[in-house]
Parts: sequence; structure tokens; C-alpha cells
Amino acid sequence: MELSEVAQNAIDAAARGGFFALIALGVAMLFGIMNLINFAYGELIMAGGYAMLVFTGWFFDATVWPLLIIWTIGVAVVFALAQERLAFRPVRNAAPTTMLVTSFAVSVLLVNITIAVWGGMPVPVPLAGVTLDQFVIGDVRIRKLDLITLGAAAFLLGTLTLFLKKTSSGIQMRAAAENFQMSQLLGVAANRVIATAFLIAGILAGSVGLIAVANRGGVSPGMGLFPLIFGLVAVVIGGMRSLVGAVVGGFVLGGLVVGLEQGLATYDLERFRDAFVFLAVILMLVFRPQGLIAGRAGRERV
Amino acid sequence: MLEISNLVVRYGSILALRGISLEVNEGEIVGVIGPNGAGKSTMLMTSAAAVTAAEGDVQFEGKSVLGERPEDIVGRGISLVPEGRHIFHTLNVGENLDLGATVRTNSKEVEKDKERVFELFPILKEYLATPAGKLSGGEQQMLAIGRALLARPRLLMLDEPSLGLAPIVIDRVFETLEQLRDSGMTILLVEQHAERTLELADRVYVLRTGNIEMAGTPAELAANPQFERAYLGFV
Repeated sequence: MELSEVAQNAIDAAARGGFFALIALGVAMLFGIMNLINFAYGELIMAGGYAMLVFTGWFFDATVWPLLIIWTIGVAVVFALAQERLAFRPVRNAAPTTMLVTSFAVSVLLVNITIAVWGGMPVPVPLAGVTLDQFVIGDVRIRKLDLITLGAAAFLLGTLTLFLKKTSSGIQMRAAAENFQMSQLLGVAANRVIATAFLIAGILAGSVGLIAVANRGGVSPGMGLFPLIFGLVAVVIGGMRSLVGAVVGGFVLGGLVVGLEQGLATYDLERFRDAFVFLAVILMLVFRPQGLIAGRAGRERV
Repeated sequence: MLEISNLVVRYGSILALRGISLEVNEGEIVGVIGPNGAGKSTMLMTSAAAVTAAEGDVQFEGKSVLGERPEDIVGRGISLVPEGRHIFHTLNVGENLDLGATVRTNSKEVEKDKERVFELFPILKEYLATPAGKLSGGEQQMLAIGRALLARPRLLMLDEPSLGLAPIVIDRVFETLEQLRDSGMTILLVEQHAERTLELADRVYVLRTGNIEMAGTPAELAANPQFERAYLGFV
């Protein structure tokens, strides 16, 4: 492979890695604190996407992009907090299976509301060609969107890290994620910690929605499923009980996906890419179920 | 200060506590000893509102504790150091300690209390930036106690602080408890180590399979032939 191809693949892998890392982080955050895999998390991304659709309906395009970003993330956060308050808080102390079924129910509900309002077909979202812009350096073509994705991922990850390490709220969250009951015994308010986790998850989901729509050029009711699944895969690869693991898993997955796309292309097997990704996950679960970054020992997982 | 009356606690169909009553008065160290599975941890966890009672009451300073949320109990003046210490491994020592002060509002007072904790456990000051998971068992126990103290409790409850510790470390821990009592702290201590508890406590209850079988001062219990039988049964 030529150097320019390597460089392009590297950037592609990094951008996708950042994308997966953001999803994985949202998933891992909720899992760490509530011991729940929120299957309605993809629908937060979808909510962000459709928020963008609504926005461009008002403003015709995305030149007012700071407003678009605030609006999209705001909508995702509202939906996230609503999920917490209306769906998950009432069943917080119920059996793990109850919470799991609840998250499925929320997911189905949100998808079907979307279909009822906008129909089941994909709808394009005009974004003034952000997706098409490219820089050219020598032989290497770099998509502007990939740089934006990387920049956004770095910014969000950096801010989140600062929050978790330097603020008392963040330290309380880390404690609650490690040992919820012990943190309660020290006075950490359960409701506030969980709501904050959903807030952060909402911010991440909104950001992911922005990037996803910019990449796809449109929205569809099922658009949250793929990111959710790959986010779960990233969390499994990286380590289920570690936020750092989620990020690492995201980037590993990004590299894996790009590597597979390149490798399989030589054998004309690209359409089996996802199959190979999941095969890798199965192997990981068999040989190193705690993931690459071992977190602390967990409670029973759903 | 703490009054447990006819407390019944069930885990599903299993009776963990069959109606126990005990009390802890201000300024004492009360020890509760008994074998594994006696219900000692259950008693402490119920007093910290982390476990629901089926019948009976636990009152702290005249007001019931049952039905509260665990995070509100600390604000009322009770700190629990649970069995196994449960320090946060991924946080460093400093962060663990800071979490102890979650309910505190006056940061100057918290700093003063931190200095007192460092006087008790100088080694914690050295390890402030170290991930708590890297500390030895004894050091973790000190961290757990120090952390509990930073909530400025009026009642300190400890669940088997000697578990998994070398004898010389246990000495240190029990010394610390004595120092705390001497400076006015009320302590409820649950232990399997009958001997040391008898040396330290002002009064002792013996808990066995969910029932209080005996109670009294260490001297009274030592003079009781029944106690010797029970004591030999689980030391």
C-alpha cells in the first residue's frame, strides 16, 4: 500500500474511531452507573438527527450551524432526561430484566413515533455540502468532515475527562459508577448522579447524531440501531466497566472496521465486513471477556 | 443515641434478623459479636437505611431511620464503614477522602478534619495521589475509616474492620477506635474477633442466627459460663 493510502486509511480509522468512541462512552456511562444497557440509546441519536431535519426545515440549510449544534444537542438532552425521569427512574430498583425490557420498549416507542410523524423512509437533510469538502495534501485527500469528527471527539473527550477528574460532581459520578451503594452510603445523591449521567449521554448522543447525519446526508427511523450496536461492540472490546476502555474500544473498532474494509476488498468480500467485526467480538468474549482494559469487578450485568 | 427495637429483616423467605433490640449510648463503644451469618451486617445496613426492615424500628437521636434514603443518613450523623471497606479503587486516596465530605458544606472545617485524619493515619497523606486500589489491606481500612470520619459523624458504625488484616494492623485499627472514643465519638462495632472486641468495648451484645443471645459489659460476659461456651463456639 502506498504511503498516501496508509495516511488516508489512518485518518479514516481515527475519525470513525472517534465516532464509535463517543457512542461507546455514552453507552458505558449509563451502564457503569445504572448497570443497564440502554437499548433506547440509539434513539437519542435518532432524536438528534430528526432535530436537524426540523431545523433545516426552518432555516433551509445549515449555515447557521452554531445554532444547529446547540439545537440538536439540546433536543437529544431533553429526550435523554425524559428517558431517565419517565422510563427508567420508576423501575430503577426493579429486576435487571425489567430495566432491559423497559429500554426495549422505549426504543420501539420512539422509533414508531418517528415513523408516524415522518414516515418510515429515509429523508434527506440538506447540510450545504459539509460532507463533500476535502483538503488535498500531496496525494492524500482528507475529508473536512473527518477532521471535524476528530476535533469534536477530542473536544468532547477532553471536556468530559476534565469534568470527571476535576469537579466534585464528576468524582461523585466515578464513585457511583464503581460502587453505587457505597457512594450512597457517603451521601452521594442517587437521583442527581443518574440524571447527570443521562445529561452527558444526551450531549454525546446529540453530537453523534450531528456527525452521523453529516455523513449519511439524511435521517431514517432506524438510524440509531447501527451506532448503538457498534457502540456496544466498542464497549465490549474495550472493557465493559471502564470509561477509558470504551474510548479505547471505539478507536480499536475504528481501526478494525477500516482494516477489514481494505483487507476484504482485495477478496471482494467487503459486504461481509460486519460479519467479521462481530466475529472479532465473539473471539474477544471467548478469550478476554473483560475486554482490553479490565475495569473493577462488576455486579451482575444484564 | 441509637435504638434498635424488635428489628426483623427478611431476605426473601430467609429471616436475617428475628426481632433484635439493642442500644448505643453517646460516647460508648458498643460491640456486637457473633459468627458468620448471624445478621450483624444486616443490622448495620438496616441502620444505614441501605436495607429495608420488615418489622421493628431503628431510631437515631429519637427519630426513625427506616424509610430514609441511604444518602440522607450521612447527613443525620451516621457513618458506616461497611464490610470489605469498599474504597473506590479507581479513584485516588485524596478523591476517596473528599467523597467522605460529600455532605459537608463548610470547606474550612473539612480541611481541619482532614488534618485530624492525617494525624490519625499519616500514611494517607503520603498516598494522596495514589489509586486507592494499590493500597494494602490495612491502609485501605484506614482510608475507609478516615473517609467515614470526614462526614463528621456522631455515630461511627464499623462492619468487621479486622477482616483480612494482619494482627499488628488490627492492633493499630483498634487503637484508633479507642482514640476516637476518647475524643467523644460514639462507635458501634461489629466483629467476629470476640477477644479484641471485649478488650475495647464498653458493652457487648452477642448476635447469633438473627437473635441477641447475650448482652453486658465485657466483665459480665467473661464471668458468664454460657458465654464461654458460645465464645468458644465461634472464635
